[in-house]
Amino acid sequence: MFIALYITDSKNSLIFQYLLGSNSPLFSHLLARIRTVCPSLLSRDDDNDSPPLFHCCVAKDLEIYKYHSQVNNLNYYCLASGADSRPQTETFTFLQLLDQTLLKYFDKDQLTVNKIINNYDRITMIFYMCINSGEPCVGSLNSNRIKRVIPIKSDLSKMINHTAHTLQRAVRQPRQGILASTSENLETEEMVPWRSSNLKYPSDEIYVDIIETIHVIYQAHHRHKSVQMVTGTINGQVNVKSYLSGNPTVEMDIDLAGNELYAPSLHECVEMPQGSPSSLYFIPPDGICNLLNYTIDLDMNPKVKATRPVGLVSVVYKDGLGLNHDEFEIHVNISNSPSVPHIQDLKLQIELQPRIQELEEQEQEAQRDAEMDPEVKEERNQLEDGKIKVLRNTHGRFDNSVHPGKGTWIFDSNTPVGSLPMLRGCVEDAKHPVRIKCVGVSYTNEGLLPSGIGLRRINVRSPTNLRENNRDKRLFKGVKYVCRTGDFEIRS
Amino acid sequence: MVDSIYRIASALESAKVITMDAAAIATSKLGETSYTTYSKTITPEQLSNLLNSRNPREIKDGMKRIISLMASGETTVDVELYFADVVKNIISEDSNVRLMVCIYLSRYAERDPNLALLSVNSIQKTLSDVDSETRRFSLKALSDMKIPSLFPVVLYTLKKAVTDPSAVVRGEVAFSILKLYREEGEELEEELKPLLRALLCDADPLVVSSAIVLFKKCFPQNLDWLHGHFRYYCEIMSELDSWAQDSMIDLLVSYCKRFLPRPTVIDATTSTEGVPSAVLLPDRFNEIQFPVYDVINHPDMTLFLQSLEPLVHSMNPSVILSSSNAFYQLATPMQFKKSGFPQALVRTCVFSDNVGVISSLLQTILILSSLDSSLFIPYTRKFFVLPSDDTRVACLKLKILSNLINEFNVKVIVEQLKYYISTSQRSELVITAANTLAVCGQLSIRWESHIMKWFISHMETSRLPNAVLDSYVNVIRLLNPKRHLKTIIQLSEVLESRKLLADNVRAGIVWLFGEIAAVEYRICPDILRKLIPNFSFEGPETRNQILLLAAKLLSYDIDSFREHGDVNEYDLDNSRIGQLYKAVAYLSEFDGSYDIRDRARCYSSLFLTGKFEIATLLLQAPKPSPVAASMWSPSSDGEPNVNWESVGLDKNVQEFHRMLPWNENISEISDEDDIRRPVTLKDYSRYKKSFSSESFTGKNISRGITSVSPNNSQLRSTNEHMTTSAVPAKKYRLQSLEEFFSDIPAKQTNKPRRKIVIQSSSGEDDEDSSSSVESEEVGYERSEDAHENGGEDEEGDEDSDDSNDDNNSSKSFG
Repeated sequence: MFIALYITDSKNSLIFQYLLGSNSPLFSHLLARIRTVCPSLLSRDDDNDSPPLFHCCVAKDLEIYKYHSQVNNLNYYCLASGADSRPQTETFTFLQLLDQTLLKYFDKDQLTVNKIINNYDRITMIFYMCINSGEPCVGSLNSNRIKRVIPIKSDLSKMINHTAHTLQRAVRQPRQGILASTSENLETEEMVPWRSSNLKYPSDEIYVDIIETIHVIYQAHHRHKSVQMVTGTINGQVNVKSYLSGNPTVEMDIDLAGNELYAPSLHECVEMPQGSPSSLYFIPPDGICNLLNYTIDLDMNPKVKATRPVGLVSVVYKDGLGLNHDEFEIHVNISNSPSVPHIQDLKLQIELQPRIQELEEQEQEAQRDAEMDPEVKEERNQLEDGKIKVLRNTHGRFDNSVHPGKGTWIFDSNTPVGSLPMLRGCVEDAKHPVRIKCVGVSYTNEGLLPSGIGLRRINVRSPTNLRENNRDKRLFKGVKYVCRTGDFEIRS
Repeated sequence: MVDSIYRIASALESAKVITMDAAAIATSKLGETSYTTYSKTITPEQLSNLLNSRNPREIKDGMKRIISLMASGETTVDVELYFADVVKNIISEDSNVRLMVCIYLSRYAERDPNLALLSVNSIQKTLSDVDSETRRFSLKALSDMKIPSLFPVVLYTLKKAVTDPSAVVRGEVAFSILKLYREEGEELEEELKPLLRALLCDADPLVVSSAIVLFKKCFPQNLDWLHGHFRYYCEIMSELDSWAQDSMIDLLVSYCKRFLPRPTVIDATTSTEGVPSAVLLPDRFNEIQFPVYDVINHPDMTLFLQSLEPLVHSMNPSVILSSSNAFYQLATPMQFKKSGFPQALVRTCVFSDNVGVISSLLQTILILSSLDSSLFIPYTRKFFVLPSDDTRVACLKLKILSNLINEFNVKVIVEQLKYYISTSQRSELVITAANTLAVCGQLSIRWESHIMKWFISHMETSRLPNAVLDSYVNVIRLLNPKRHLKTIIQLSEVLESRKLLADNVRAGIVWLFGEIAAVEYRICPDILRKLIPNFSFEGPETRNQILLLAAKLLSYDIDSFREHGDVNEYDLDNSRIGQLYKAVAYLSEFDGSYDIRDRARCYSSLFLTGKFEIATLLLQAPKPSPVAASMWSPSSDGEPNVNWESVGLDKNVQEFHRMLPWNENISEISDEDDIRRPVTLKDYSRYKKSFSSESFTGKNISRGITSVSPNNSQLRSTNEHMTTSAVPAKKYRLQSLEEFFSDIPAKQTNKPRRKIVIQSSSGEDDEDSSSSVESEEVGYERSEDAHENGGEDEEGDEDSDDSNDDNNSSKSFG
């Protein structure tokens, strides 16, 4: 049973609180309690010393759950009591759902702190709807129900768009006048829980976004100058933004490009008549909706060769170069693609191997003098981890991290495809061969998915005429393919 | 001409409207930020005035300010002071204002019950509103107030609302009962029970969803109430709200365990030679003796398990967890594997970015994989640690890996583990990886020696924190040193040749020899002998361990001496070991560290006074093996209660997967009586307006296509899809549909060939044939449309839009 919910920013200062009863603690009180009982609940991901917790007991029968939303960089805390013998999944998922509900309600890609502060009343009402007697309110968690009870306030840009559209329509169909579009009867009962029945849009549109995230780890084989995949997964997400009037049904055909999507998870509205997500059939929920999540297992798919790069960017590096073997070279290969003009936010994190140096130094010193003072040795070791110096660089800039032996090669926000950036660097004052431990890659690109999946066609059927007002306009406004990287690492 | 002028005029008119709109926006809502700034300037006095104003806009501003104060956690203004001002706005025309008052009431009503009661009358009036949402929120507001004197009123209201025509309101009744039950509990129990039972009879999935949540929270013991509903619930399983599905599955699992007979497992291999041997489903998962088997279930159990199949696509991790648990509790490993839920667990885990969820899922996988590793072996690589993994997640993954090791994947896994051990900075992760590596070593002698060598070489080359080193030493000890004498001797060489090893490493190795003495005594005295000359140059920990080693060796030596049954007392001065010990003890007496001096005295007093038994107890005590390694070892799987907590599992995950006992004494009569005969549903939908939408009947398009299949075996498989899709298809079929299509045979005769195929395919369906046949005509019709010309009956509706702006689009219908 929930007692209170809080939203804080990533530094744990309160943005919003929703207290369910008169006895629910204020966040300031709770925070003090957490600080004494389990401070690691407040720690952030990048703290190395104590791993961050996501759940802890603050008192007998009082538990606190934390969900960190990466999209919004917000923390959701939930104080709950009466934990039963179920895994805690439900509460965590509920916090995640609240986060998504807010995004859907405001129709935004990201929720800012200001947006929350400006909409305290609305968010409170949303929480009031979603939580009933301290439990997730079954049946009213669909965003269309929420929107119906708490009508969205359209902001300036939407207002202008809407009005411009009304004008356009008025010009085309003079006799009807501007106000003729008011709905005549309001049918309150919907036929499917995720869609309200009396939707009317001035312009009917549907958008499809397919987002894939790559998680791959390669093992580098320097002798063969190649890489081999250790493990690989592509996580895909199909999102639909639908603004369609009436009760349409949508058929969607997806070109799977030979990939097998194992047990995809579907929105409740979707039917997979052929048992595979290549053709889907659904009544679109209003607004943004996460239609389908799929996972492509690159380890199990025999068609994927272990050495073939996933995505457009592949990286090869050599180390131990130069006279003193203290130089390294990184080659990036960005393949050409007609549908992708450039790669965005390409970044390479380079980490050198510290232990090799230490080891070899020990080796040598053990031979030279056995009874050397350990303190002197200590100092020597620390000197070893020098700064990385760039010798030659074709693109972007290089940032040394505060941690020795680490650095980031940061590209411009747009790197054209087909280019072959290269970086040669060395370690300052290195006495020993330099080895690279791993290189992490992160980038985003639009226009092509690493799996090759694409939308083949989309059919909208509706009992009412959707394009009565704008015949020359398309319902389907196109598909957007986005590819991101999650864990992309090449290890030595 | 006139027309065009009219157009211009109307354009101008709309231009005017735009300007008006824009002006309105500019003045009032240009950015929410300016409104917030305005709202913040409202002083406490003004706030009171606003709330008491006659202008609805001002009231709204006031309420918004109140809500903002509650939500922001500001303590400058005491919101409670405005109680009376706020509560009287419950009569406002604006539903949002009413909602905000309700929110206020739900939080502060307890503080001032008398004033709060003033609002009750107004709320009760709205209980008979036309709009179902209004009724629902009134009910919610009423039950939210935790005022004891109000409870009878709420109860009375609930009794009335339980027959409300709107499903939303009836669903709300369930939550109100929950609130009442939590406040009053036992006293009202008898009055609340009939209400809940009425809700359980409801036909609407939404109401059933709420009722089930209530049932699970308050009356989970009264499983017998579910008798008449069992089959209907299985039928509507996938239509329930996903937040109720998990509760429903949990309840039905308990129900099956209590009221359904235990499934019978039949050996499929011997079935050809007469009577097949059959056993009941064993108590523990994966204890079936037969390599290949069939299962005979009670039909209701089959129904339940079948109803779970579509849930494999659920987006809610709780549902996946509950369904997996259902298969774990009620079915055989083979059925579980076939259901696809192991894969769904892995997929949800890989996809989610919610650490709390991942951790619960991994714990479940850990439990399941320890019982039957074959469920997850195909996904072994998914449990490799990713750089972004949280430490606890990474450790859970490694523990799962230790369950999945076999001859085929051990090479890859060992490589990974070595990488984690040698590169990770997180000691918890390194220790877990080391323990997992130890499990790899138990696979075969070859791997054992390989891993032991690797540990030893790794130990000498890198500086390690104490905790990590301890785990290494423990792991080496576990790996049966007797078989790898060569490696052990190598270890002693390491000790001799490299003086530069860190103190704790040397100490660890010396301790290890003390332990090895128990299994391989011969090499140890020599090692001690070599250590003594450099005693004073060693670090304090190593000196301590050398002393301990000497004491241990002496103790073993005395024991072996006494076993030979010599009559003479053990002579300390004349035995080699005794002399070695004396030398170490002598050196220790002059040690700089108190600790070592004290220990030396302690051991010496034991030996000199002849208390050899105590020395044996003290020095030869058996050491526990590292937890993870021992519990996964194949030898120790006998006990049903493995100590999961020591493996890092949460109590509730563990409790959740505790095997429920089967009820052994189900009365035989129950089969004939059929206690699960469906009771009549309370269907309120006839009060609703019915609609007929052509679009929804089209749901069956592809069923028409798939059922025309040349191959019989394929046909069977497609039928399975059909049955799964048949259940949700029911959702949109309304009451009037059957009647609506009952006069359709004129059309059917047009293409009889197709029809026959469909019928025969659905005839093969055992159980769901009735439901699929009902909508068959519809699907068939639509499929014809879609295939032949794409909509002869609906030209305008045929909105087959395709995108040309991107590369992957193509023409849809020619």
